[in-house]
Formats: sequence, structure tokens, C-alpha cells
Amino acid sequence: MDKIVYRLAFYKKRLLKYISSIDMLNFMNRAVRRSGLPVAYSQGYNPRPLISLGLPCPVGIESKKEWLDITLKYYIEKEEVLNKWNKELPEDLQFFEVLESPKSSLIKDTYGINYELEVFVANESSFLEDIERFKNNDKVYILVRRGEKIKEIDLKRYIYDIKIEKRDNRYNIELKTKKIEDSIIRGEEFLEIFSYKPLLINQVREVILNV
Amino acid sequence: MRDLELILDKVEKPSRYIGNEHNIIIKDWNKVKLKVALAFPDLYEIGMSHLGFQIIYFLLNNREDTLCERVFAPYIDLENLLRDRKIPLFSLETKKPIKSFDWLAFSLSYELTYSGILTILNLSHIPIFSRDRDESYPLIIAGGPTVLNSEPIADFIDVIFIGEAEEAINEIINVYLEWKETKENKTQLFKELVKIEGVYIPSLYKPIYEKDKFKEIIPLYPWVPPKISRRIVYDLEKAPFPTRPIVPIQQVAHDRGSIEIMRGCQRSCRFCFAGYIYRPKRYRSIDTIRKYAKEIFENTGYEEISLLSLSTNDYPNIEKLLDLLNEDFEGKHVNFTLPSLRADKFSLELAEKVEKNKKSSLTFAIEAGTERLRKVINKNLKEEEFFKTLDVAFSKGWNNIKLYFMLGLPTETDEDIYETVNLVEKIIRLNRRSKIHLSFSIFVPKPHTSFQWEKFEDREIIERRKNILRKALKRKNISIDFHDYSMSYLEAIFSRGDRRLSNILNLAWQMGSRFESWTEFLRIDIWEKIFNNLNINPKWYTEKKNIDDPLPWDHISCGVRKNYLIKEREKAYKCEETPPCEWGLFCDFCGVSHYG
Repeated sequence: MDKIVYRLAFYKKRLLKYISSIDMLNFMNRAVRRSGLPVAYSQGYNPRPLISLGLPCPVGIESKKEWLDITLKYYIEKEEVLNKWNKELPEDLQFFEVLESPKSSLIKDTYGINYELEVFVANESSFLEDIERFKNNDKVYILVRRGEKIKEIDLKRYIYDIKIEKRDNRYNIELKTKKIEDSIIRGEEFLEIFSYKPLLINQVREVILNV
Repeated sequence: MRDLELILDKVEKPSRYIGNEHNIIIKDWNKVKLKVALAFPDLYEIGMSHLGFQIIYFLLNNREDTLCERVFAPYIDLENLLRDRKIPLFSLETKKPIKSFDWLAFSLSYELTYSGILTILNLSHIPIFSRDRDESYPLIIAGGPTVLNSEPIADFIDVIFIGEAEEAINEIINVYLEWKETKENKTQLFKELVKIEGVYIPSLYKPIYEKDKFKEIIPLYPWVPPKISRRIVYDLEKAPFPTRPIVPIQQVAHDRGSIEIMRGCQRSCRFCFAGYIYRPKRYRSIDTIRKYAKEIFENTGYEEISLLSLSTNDYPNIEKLLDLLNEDFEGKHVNFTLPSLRADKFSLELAEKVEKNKKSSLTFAIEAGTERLRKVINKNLKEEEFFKTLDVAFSKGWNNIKLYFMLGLPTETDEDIYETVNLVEKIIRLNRRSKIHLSFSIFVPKPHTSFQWEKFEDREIIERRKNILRKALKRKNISIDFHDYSMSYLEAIFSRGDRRLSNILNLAWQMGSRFESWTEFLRIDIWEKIFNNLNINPKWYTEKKNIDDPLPWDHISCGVRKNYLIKEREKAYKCEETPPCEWGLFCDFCGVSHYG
């Protein structure tokens, strides 16, 4: 029988945002092994369940939507895949959407990431000025760390939409970012544009796939 | 919860503190009579790797009237944050302050985790010394192998349980709950608790010292038992076992399922603490192990299940067990691992059964490099037999060999070390493609063993022997690691320590000593300074003792008679072997019965 690939979306919130991406794979592997779903395994001396995660979600960041691909040995109703797996997962990390036979690999199919940054702003006028300047400029360069290297990147290439909203004494920044040559920007890197850096209180992300 | 997140955002590996694991047990606080915080005084990844810890969690939660939640020693970063912000240490399950539990129970399996007890008490806003705690504080309990000599922590703990908890835990809970209803003082509780075999309440005894040396320990009241015996669960088959263990989210030291297939060991290695304090040898049946393996797999999804025992080869019908497990788990991608294999050919057959097509490495704890020294410690392995095993191993494709040794064993001389070098060279000559890893620990004399009177070897001698090995075995295909001397030194002090160490531990903790079992944290200078300031010579704890010297653990009996230990010690000096204990076939009358 032919192997079937399923693509599932899950959220992770509250304390489960602290799972690292390395632990996440093990966590998912063991849950699917408990569920009794007929997961397919890789070949070789050390066979692993065929599960792949997309762009890793950093420790401490909540996500409304992360994606994962799994290969099963044979066809099963996709709702059943979702339900059986969910039974083995805690309530703060659950699947809520499932697709069959995705087009290609998760990273290739990723369009970008949306971020919601909740920040505390000390100097409001300066904050708003910086936002306006960002909107009006063609290019905005910042320095970011990529592995062991420091790179200069143009934020404007990555961010295609930005909204801000005031909530009590805090601001909510909504960013829509896209993937460029398999690289993305992290939510907190946007804060580099400010002359008085706001204090990041919470960050939530959502991974968007190509339609 | 939001407050907690603000702290966790600032610490390394926050996943240590989040709970939320699979198989975690969360009960309604209003529906139970007893609330226990079960503590392991080291980091999460260490504590969660201990089967004993998971067993106690299971035993307590198994009772409908009891809940048990976990707490571990936080890493330094979280410790500082909690202290700065005056946030009390919390349980992983419901994030409740530890102080709000009825009991705080410590699982102790290594002497160098003791400072973690103080960290946990202090961060929970509980006074460190038991004399400073009244009935409004949780009852502080401790158990585990190291409490067979509990004097070094005697001043911190209210109730110590000696031995195996499976049966006694219910007796202790019942007595406690009855007392709680009466609202009487702690002494009333203690009066009832000491009637339970295995319960030791240090505050009811007074240690006497003479000329700076431990002399004796005396009960303070007539109702206090002068001697405490280790509790033994004779029927292991019926003992409850957790087949729904908590599955950690973050990687831990032993990231796998475990089944205790055997308890106790028949080999009588004279240095081995576990070999003496877990007597007699008992085992679970093949059917029960298969059932447990199936349940553990279904309840955890683990890729690996370890069949725990002190000597795997001695499990009766081990081959049959492995064949049946392999059959049961065909196609399920589960590996079984066998710790503690003896260096004989039979082990290779067993290793082949669990390794199937991949040949990773073989590990043998041969402990000493010469046959003479192996006779002294009663590790009865002939060199000829060992080389036959290696021959077969190499021919079957095991090229990676790990060997464990001890340095500083009684009667050891430099000659034994040169012989160890020869032994390793001989192995290399046998197979030039082999990769040998050598691991040297340092012999620590342990209470309740035949070597409890022996000396902990001096630093200069150990360093000299390390150098001999290092220089002679400098090869591409040999790697060597040595255990840290200072760490073993501190372990030796605490292993045979008396009650004066409680105060010393407190002072060291005050001066910032933490996680002494982690090389990067151990600061031996702090300890040396304190011994110096108090004018206590630590040599008393490490030097060779006379047979008739009073020992701080003389009032605790693990079941093995002192006369037997003395006889074994004499045999050691005469290089005489003691055959394995076989109930009904060969008995050396150590004092521990097989049937209770």
C-alpha cells in the first residue's frame, strides 16, 4: 500500500511555549507512537518516525499555528489522524487542522510568519515616530545574528504589512513577514528599528503556508 | 501563571519547570487528606532519570486520599530569581508553594545532592533545621539508599525511612493521618511512627563525641528504639510498579522506560554499596516483565526500555526473557538495553539479542586491572576468561570496548596500575582496529560494606597513578577519563560522615556551595575552609578505621551482620573469593533472609 503524507497544524501556548525545537520532535514522536497511528519509519540502523517540523519555533514563543508533516503507512481518515494524536497531547498543544498530500516540503511551502508583539513603551512619541519612519522608508537595515555571524539585513524586504494598536499602557504590533531564500526574521528583531527600544512582553507567531 | 512566565523567560532551559508531561497526575486539593511534595535535590533531568523517584510518585498517587506533586532543585539562575523576587518555590504539577503541602519528601540517592535539600527548604521559606520547625510547617521526610547512613543530614530531616517503601509507605501515611485528626504535637506523631519498622527519627537520638571522634548515639527517651532495621519487600512480584511513568518533555539523563527486573545482587562484590543494601536477590517473573513492557510502551511511546538490575546475567532465564520480548515487540521499533553485563561470553549472546544488526559498544565494569586485586574485591573474573570474551566480541564486530575501573582500592599498589597498562596493551594487540574507552573512578569506602573500614586514598597517590596511566596509554585509539578527585573526596566524607556534617553542610551552602556533583560547580575550597575554621579534621572521615571503632551508622541495620562484614574483609586481605549467594545451594549466612 502507498504511504500517505498528512500535514497538520497545531497551536502551542502558555507553558508549552518553552519546549525547544529539538525536544518537540521527540515529544511528537512519542505521542504518535502512543496513539497507535501507523506511522512510517525511516530506513537504516536507527529508524525514526517520519515526522518533520517546519521552521523551528524559538523557546518561549507562543504559536497560533505551527505545521508538521507525518507519513503514515496506509490511508486513514484525516480527522481520525487528528483526533487520535490529540488524545496523547496536553491541552495547551493540540492539532486543529489537517490536510492530505501536501505539495512539497514544509519549509518550501512556507510563505512567511505573522507576529504579534505586545510591548511596553516608555517614550510614546518617539515610538510612533520610529514606526512612521519605518513605514515611509524604502529600506531599513538592521543587524541580526545568524548562527555565529552578524548579518545586515533590510527589514523592509521581509515585512509586507504592519499594524499597531494601543491597549491600555501597551502597544500591540502586528507584523506580516515573508520568507526570503529560506530565511526569516524573528519577531523581536523588529524592535531594532526603535531608538528607545520598547520592552517586549509577549510574542505570538503564526506560520503561513503558500496558498 | 503570567508571573511564572516572566521568570521563566529569563532562565536557561525553562522546560525544566513547566510540568505538563504525559502521565502527570493532577488531583483536586480539596478531595485528598494528604498532600506530598516529592523532591529530588538535583536538577530535573537528573531526578527524572531515577526509577526510585517515579516509584514513590506512583505509590503516593496510587492512594485515593493522597496527592503527590514534584519539585526539583532549581538551577542557579532560577534560584537567584526566586530569592530576589521573594517567590516561593513551587511544585511542577499545580505550581503551588511547597510550604502548602503536608509533607516534603526527599528522594536521596547520592551524597553530593545534599546541598539541594537546603536549597529546596530555603526557597520554600521553610527553616532548614528540624529543631526550628513547629507543626505549622510541612513534615520533612527522606528516603533512598544514602540514608543507610543518614547522620550527615540528620539535623534537617524530621523522619527518615530506611529501606524499601512499597509496603511501609501506607503504614506511615495511616499513622500520620490519624495523628493529624488529633491535632497533637509532633512528639505524639513520632511516638507512633517509631513503631513502624524502618522509621528513624534523628531528633530522638543524641550523638556523643569523644576527643573529636564519634563515640556513640543514644536514644533520648525509653520509647525510642535503639536500633533501626531496613525494611525489605520480600515479594517483588507483588510489589506495585509504575507502568505509566511520567514522560519528560525535555531530554533527561536516562531518556527511556525502565523495568526493575531484579532487586539485589548475589555477587558480593566487597566494595559495592548496592550489593549489600539491596539483599536478598529477588526478581520479577518473565510474564510480569512482558506485561510491564507492553504497558510501558503503550503508555509512554518510549523507543527504549531498560531492563534494570545489578547483574543482568544472573536473571534466571534471561535469554528466554529477551527472546520473548523481541517477539512481543517485533516491528514496534523498541530497543531493550541491559546494564551491568559481566565480562563473559554469555554477555555477548545477550548483547547480540538486544543489538540485533547494529553493534555499538560493549561495556564491562572489570573494576581492577589485575586478577589479584579482583580477588580482593571479589569481582571474580579470570583474565583468561576475559580475553576469550574479547576474542569473540572482536570476531563478531564489536570494536568499541568500554572498561570501567576503580583507583585506590584496598591493597592497590603502583604495580597493579602498571599491570592495568599491560592489560590494555594486550587488548590493543588482540585487535588493532579496536577503540578502547577507559573510565576510572575512585574507590569510596561505603557504610554497610566489607570495606566500610578502609581508607579513602590520598590525593597524591591517586594523582600519581592517574599520571602513570595517562602517560603509558597515550594512543589514538584509547580514550581515558578520570573521576574528579575532590568530588570523590567529598563523597567519601559524607558517605561515612557523622551528624557534625549537618552544620558543615549548612555553612558550605551559606557560602554558596551548590550542585557538588557537577564538576563545573564543585568548590572544594569552601569545604576545606570550613573544616579549618571549625577545627574539625576531615581525615577522621577518610582514614582507615579499626574494626572496633564506633561507626555513625551502627544503629542502622541493613540486615547484614557486622561479623559477616569482618569475615569478608579478612577474606579480601587473603585474596579469597566468596562464591555467589544461591539460596538453598550456597549460603554464607550474611544475616539477610530470603523469605522475611
